[in-house]
Formats: sequence, C-alpha cells, structure tokens
Amino acid sequence: MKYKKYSRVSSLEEARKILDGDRNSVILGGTTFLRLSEKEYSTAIDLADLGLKYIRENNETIELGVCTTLRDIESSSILKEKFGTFFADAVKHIIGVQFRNCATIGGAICGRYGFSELITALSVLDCDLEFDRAGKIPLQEFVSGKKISRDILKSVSIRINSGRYSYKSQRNSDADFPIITVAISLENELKIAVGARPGIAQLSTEGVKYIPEDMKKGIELLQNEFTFGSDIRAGTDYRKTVAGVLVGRAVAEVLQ
Amino acid sequence: MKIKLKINGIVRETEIYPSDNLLDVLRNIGIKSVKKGCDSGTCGVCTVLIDDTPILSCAYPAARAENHRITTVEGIGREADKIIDAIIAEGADQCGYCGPALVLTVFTLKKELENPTVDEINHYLAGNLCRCSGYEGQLRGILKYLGVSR
Repeated sequence: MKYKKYSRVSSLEEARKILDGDRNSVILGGTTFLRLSEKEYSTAIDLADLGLKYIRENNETIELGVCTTLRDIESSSILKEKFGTFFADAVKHIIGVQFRNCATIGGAICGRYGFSELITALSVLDCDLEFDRAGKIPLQEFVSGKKISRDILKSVSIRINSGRYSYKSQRNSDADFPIITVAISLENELKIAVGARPGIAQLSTEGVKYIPEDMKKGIELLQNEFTFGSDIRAGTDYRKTVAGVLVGRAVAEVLQ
Repeated sequence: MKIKLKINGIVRETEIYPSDNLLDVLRNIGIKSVKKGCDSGTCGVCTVLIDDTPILSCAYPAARAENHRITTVEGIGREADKIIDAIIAEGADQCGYCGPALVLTVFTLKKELENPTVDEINHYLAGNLCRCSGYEGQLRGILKYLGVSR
C-alpha cells in the first residue's frame, strides 16, 4: 500500500474532515497488509493517538476500542473471565506474537476477510459495531454486506451473557491462514458460525435446528447450507468434511 | 516528510516517503541488525520493539513510530549477549540471520511470561522462523537462558 500523505489525527472530527474532503483517503488499521497491497491512496489516516486501544467491561457489555490488537484480545483477563479461552483460541494461531501486536480488531472486521477468525468468533455472540456516523450496527448486518461508506469504526461491543463457547480451526501448517473456522456459542440458544470456507463466516440457520438432538442430520444440513469453495489451501469436499468434524467437536465441548 | 525516531535512546531525524515501513527506514539509516526476510509480515526477522512490545517492522509505518521508543537488538545490551551465548552453546546460531529478532523476542518473552511452560515458549516464539536450526537447538538454549526445564 502506498500513500502520499500520512495524517496522525488528534480527533475523530479531524479524521472525518479528511475522509469527507479526500475521496482517495484511507483509514489505517493494524497495517499488517502494508506490503501486500498494491493500492495507492492520497492520504492515510492514523487513529493511533485517539485512545481507541482498550478492552473494558461496562454493565452488560464488554467494549473493545477499534485499535485493540489481536494480542490484547488473546491476553485479556476480562475476556478470559467471561468467555474462557474462546477468544484466545480464535486468534492464537494468527502468524506470531509480533504480528498479533500489530493487527487490530478494526482491521480484522472492516476488511470483511473470509479468513477472519475474529469475525467467525464474534458471529456467534451478541455483537454490535459502533460507527462514527452510522451509529450502532449489529455485526451480522455488517458481515452480510451492509454498505458503510466513508465512516469510522470506533468500537465493538459484546453483550455479556452466561453461556458456553468453543472455537475450532484447521490449517495446513501453524501460522498459515485457516482452511475452515468454526465457532459455537450456547447461551439462550445454540449458534454455529463457519468461516474460511473460504468465504466470510456465516451463521447456520438449517443444520443448527437439529443439533445436538440429531447430530448426523444437523451436520449434513449444515454442510449443505453453506457454500464451500476451493483454493490453493484446500478443496471444496475437504473443507466440507472438516467443517462437519469441527462442528461435532465444538458441540461436544460446549455440551460437556 | 521528516520524522524523528527515538532508536535505542537516541533521537534521529530522517526524511521518509509517507508510506515507508519502519524496516526500510531503519536499514536505510544504517541499522542492519534489523533484517529483511519475507517482507510481508510472516517470518519475524524484522522484529523490533516499540515501547517494549515486539512488532514486525515490515508491517509498521515508520511515521507511526514517531513519539515511541524503538529498540533493536543493540538496545538491550548485555541481555542480548546472554541470550545469544545460550543459543550458540547449543550450536543453534547457524547462519545468524534470524538471530537479532529471536533475541529480541526471547527478551520480551522473559518479561511478559512468568514461569512459562515449554508449550508457552514455543507458542510465543512461533512467529520467528528459522531455516537452518530446526528449532530444537535454539529451544534448548532458550530454555537454559530462561531456567526452564522440560
């Protein structure tokens, strides 16, 4: 990625002004893909000085600032207390500690990457995104393609519910992109998300109705309700099979 | 644009292109212990510390590093010698290319993890790739340095 001007803003207003006045400006996230993108922008807006790197517990929610890193999430005692190892499991295989000290929750979400492990995990939780202009938007709406234009993600909030959680992923080698990701939550109801198919994580609506009562039928339906694809890392059939196995293991874990 | 970088306690002013990454800027001003490997955020040989936190300098805008403390292997003094001596004693230094980054990561590991297990050490160091050693010798040296037994 290249940009002609770097602007470390001191307020959201300043960032908004640049976004409005310069259509070719971009907000920097964790910049881990700095070297992988060929795109050229006029101005890069850096939110690093806005104090948006935090994880805090409010009355009923946990709020994460947009600049919170994946390593912050992995080592957060607040998240561990409420969700066990769920979040650490979701991010701990992403390259290495140094990478996770750079990559941010904002970058992981706003990129809407198919391989995003964090989106898979957040999909099974009651999660909202707080944008500067658009206000509060459920993560699911955003993931489903809701168009957000020239806006700034400020924070992510997760409602604290009492439940059980499991996150599973499969990859060809440690630190590689996952070939399938599965997240399950059992709060008032069971939620199952499958990502890296290689498409972005989606919630099961069919298979989940039969799980855990009729696991075989539920997993078969789940394997057919999603589109699984083929790429350099894995084929369609392999992904579909592994998804079924991981869902089975994750369900067993939350029911234990 | 002109920026000031505080590297190992010394402030240096340098001219950069706004989107330059920290790795290239550090090497251009002569700090060659910071290595260029994959140049795409994967191998870990470009590791430096920003305010004592290990990051990938190839994936970090140099301009973002202004007003932060940058530490390279030269900046941790005698501790670097102790770590590398422990690795050399196990015959695991090999070509040495990944060495400075590994030393820095072990340095922060020791500060960050209290009484780490071997699994925790391996997990913490997973982002430091080495094409020579096969990791086993390095791990033996690092365990000795940390005073951890299997």
